[in-house]
Parts: sequence; structure tokens; C-alpha cells
Amino acid sequence: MLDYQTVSDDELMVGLQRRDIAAFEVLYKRYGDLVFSTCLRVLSDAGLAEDMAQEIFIRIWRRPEAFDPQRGKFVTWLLSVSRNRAVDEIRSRGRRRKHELGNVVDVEERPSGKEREDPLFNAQLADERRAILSALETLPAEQRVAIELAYFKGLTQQEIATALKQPLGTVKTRIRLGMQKLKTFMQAREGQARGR
Amino acid sequence: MDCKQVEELIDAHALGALDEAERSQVEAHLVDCGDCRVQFEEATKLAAQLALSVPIRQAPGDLFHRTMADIHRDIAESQGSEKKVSWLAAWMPRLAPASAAAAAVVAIAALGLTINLDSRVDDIDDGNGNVQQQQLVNLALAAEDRQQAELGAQDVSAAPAATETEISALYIWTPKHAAGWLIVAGLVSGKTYLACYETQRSGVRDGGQMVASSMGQAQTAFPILHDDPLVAVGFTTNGDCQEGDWLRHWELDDPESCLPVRLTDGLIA
Repeated sequence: MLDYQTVSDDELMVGLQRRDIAAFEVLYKRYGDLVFSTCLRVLSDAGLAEDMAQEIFIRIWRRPEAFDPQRGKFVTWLLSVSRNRAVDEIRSRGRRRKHELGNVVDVEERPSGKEREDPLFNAQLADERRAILSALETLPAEQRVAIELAYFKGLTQQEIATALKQPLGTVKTRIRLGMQKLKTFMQAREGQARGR
Repeated sequence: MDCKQVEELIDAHALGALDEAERSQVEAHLVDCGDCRVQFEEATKLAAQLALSVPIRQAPGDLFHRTMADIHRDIAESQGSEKKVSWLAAWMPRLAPASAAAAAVVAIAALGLTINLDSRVDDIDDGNGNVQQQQLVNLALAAEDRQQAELGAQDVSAAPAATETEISALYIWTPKHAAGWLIVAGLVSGKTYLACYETQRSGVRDGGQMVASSMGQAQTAFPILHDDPLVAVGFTTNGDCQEGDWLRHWELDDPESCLPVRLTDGLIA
């Protein structure tokens, strides 16, 4: 009998194309919390985040072929889909104006002791998570805030400039420098990992 | 835009932070420029990694059940009612002289075929080995034959009753589908019922509406997970399983079993 717990994400997605509901169940168990948390981060509303996470998983069930393993890892795709759908939801609800200022503090929320002890099933993913958290810690707060407002709140550079009462050019520089630092940090880490 | 201008905007584009006009210009450039496209893909990958930085909260347990319930509804809708109806219709001549109990047994054969038509799996997993689908159908047919023999030559009308008098049902758990299937016969034709079930960890849940067919038969499926087996199943007409006022209520002797469980009025047969 197939042991689903040891099956890779890509194989589970092939299972979904065969309409294997047990494969779907395993995918949900692996990533349900992460998808919900990503939606919650963007939407700042547990009820909306629940609805959005449900919608995302149902979409995956209905259209598993939307994931192309040639283009990258499943989890990367899943998180992009989750973030993008949640941001679309903010925009369609016209909620972004409410978020512009109010969530500057919110974006500074960092992982805390309230989290689950072992939130990610996958050691490699947990390692990647620690790396991106460390990378973000190295950024000056203003660069991190600008990046997080863009990614998690779906604001454009102009909207961020308005929200932070900063010149547009300043926001552009913060985003660009911040992303470059993150990239350098993550590349160095990948190099170290390969060298081990 | 040239490459230098695009490079200035690639990170913001990967974060989704460009306005409409800038985004159109950058995307037009990326179509023709492989070097910039590689940079954009790297930036997009980095942006996606940002999602891993979110504080991870446990999704409400209810969310999984709601999602699975939606998926089961999706499956039911996509199964193609025509195939089910035609298959059941083929059995109707055998149903006519039989009691409602036999109708339920025949329905399990229909269920077996439905799973087959769905072509998602080749067999039904019993959690220990495999109960082949054909075996399941054979089991149902054998049970029907026994029922026919018990009835002898009696001419029992299959006309639907005005009240629920001789209820029979079958329950099967198919772990591979993470689904519990309830088939009930002896219901009032056209009447709406609400299936109810109780699992070890999640308690009482609504198993979905069932509308009795002209033969007084109805079926439904609901999510039953490996780690949260069913302990009781039944149905109600008051529209709320939580009320506890179920019209029929069956407790399972062996929640881990994947074999069909035949249920009669308030009893496990």
C-alpha cells in the first residue's frame, strides 16, 4: 500500500490529477497551516483568511495541472498563489485604503512564542524559513517595512510612499536595496549549504 | 525601456509593487530580453520565499472539514448523474419484488460502480489489504441473494411508504477517498433528510442533505479521515444534527472497519 506520508509534493500533485483524494488530504495536512497563515498575514482577518485558504485548496483540487514542476518547487508555487489570491481579495474588497497606515505596525509582526512548536513538516523548508527570517533581520527596518508592505499588503511603491509619508524615490531605493541584500544573503547561504 | 531602466524596477515588479503603466512596460521588455527575464525569475523566487517568514498559525480544525466537504460535493457533482441513474435503472427489475432492505444492498453495488466510473482508484482500500471493487459488488449481490431467498416468493411492493417505517441502510468507509458513504432505503419519496455523523475527535457533524428518490432511497458521502474514525451515523428531519434528535441513529461496533455495515431500524444487522 502506498505510504502517502513519504511521497513528494510533486508526486502528490500527480495523484491529484488522478483525482486521488488521499493525496489531497496529505497536501492539506502539510501546507494547510502555512497557506492559512499566509492568507492571515495579508488579510489580517481570520475569517477571511479561512475562506481564502479553503478557496485556494479547492482550486488546487480542481486544477492541479496549474502547477508546473518544471518551473519550480510546489511550495514556492503554493505560497505565491496564496499571497496573490489574498492580495487580489484585498484589492477587490477595496480594503487597501484601510491598510495603508494601520498595518505599518502589523507588518512588523515577527514570529513569536504563540506559534506552533514544529510548524513545518519539512526540515528543508524549516531551514529555508529560518534563512529568510535571518535575512530579514539583517535589513534596516525601513527597508523591511517597504518590502513587506509591497509583498504582504499589495501596495504599489507610490502607495507605500504615501502611507509612510516618504518621497517615492526613497521608497524605490529602500525596496531595491532591501531586495538586493536579501538576495545576497540567501545566495551566500545556498553557497554554504552546497559547500557542506 | 532599456535593460538599465528595467533592472531598477525588477525587484519591485517581483513584489507586485509597480503601478499599471510601469508593469506593462517592464513586462513588454521581459518578453524580448532573456537576461532580464532570468533576473526577474530570481527576484520572483526570492519574493515567494518571503511568504515563509509569516508567523505560522494553526488553521482552525473546522477548515479542513469544510474543505473536504466542498471537495466531496465537487466529486458528487462531477460523477455524472446519468451514469449512476442508468446503472441503478439496470437493477430496478431486481429491486421491484424486494424489500427496502434489499434496495439498500443493491444500492451498494451502484456505489461500487460509481467509484469505478470515477476512475480515481482501481480498488477500495480496507486499511489492511485491499478489498477489490468487484469483491465489494459481489458481496452486495450475495447479500441481496440472501435477502431474496428469505423473502421467498412473497410479492413485496416497492412502492414508497408515506412514513419511514422499514428503514435499512448501508455504511461504507473508503479510506482512499477519505469518505464515509451512507445509503438509506425506506424513506419517504421526495422528502429531504439531513445525514448526521459523529467521529471520535470531531463530534457530531452535518453529513449533507439527502432527497429520497421515487424508490424512497437516498445516499450521501462525507469526509471520514484516517485519524478520526466514525462512531455513529444516522439522519434527521429537523435540519440540525447537533440537536441530537436523529430519526435514526446507528453506532458502529468497529469504527476502523472498511467492510460494508448493514444497518436496520436502529440496529446494526
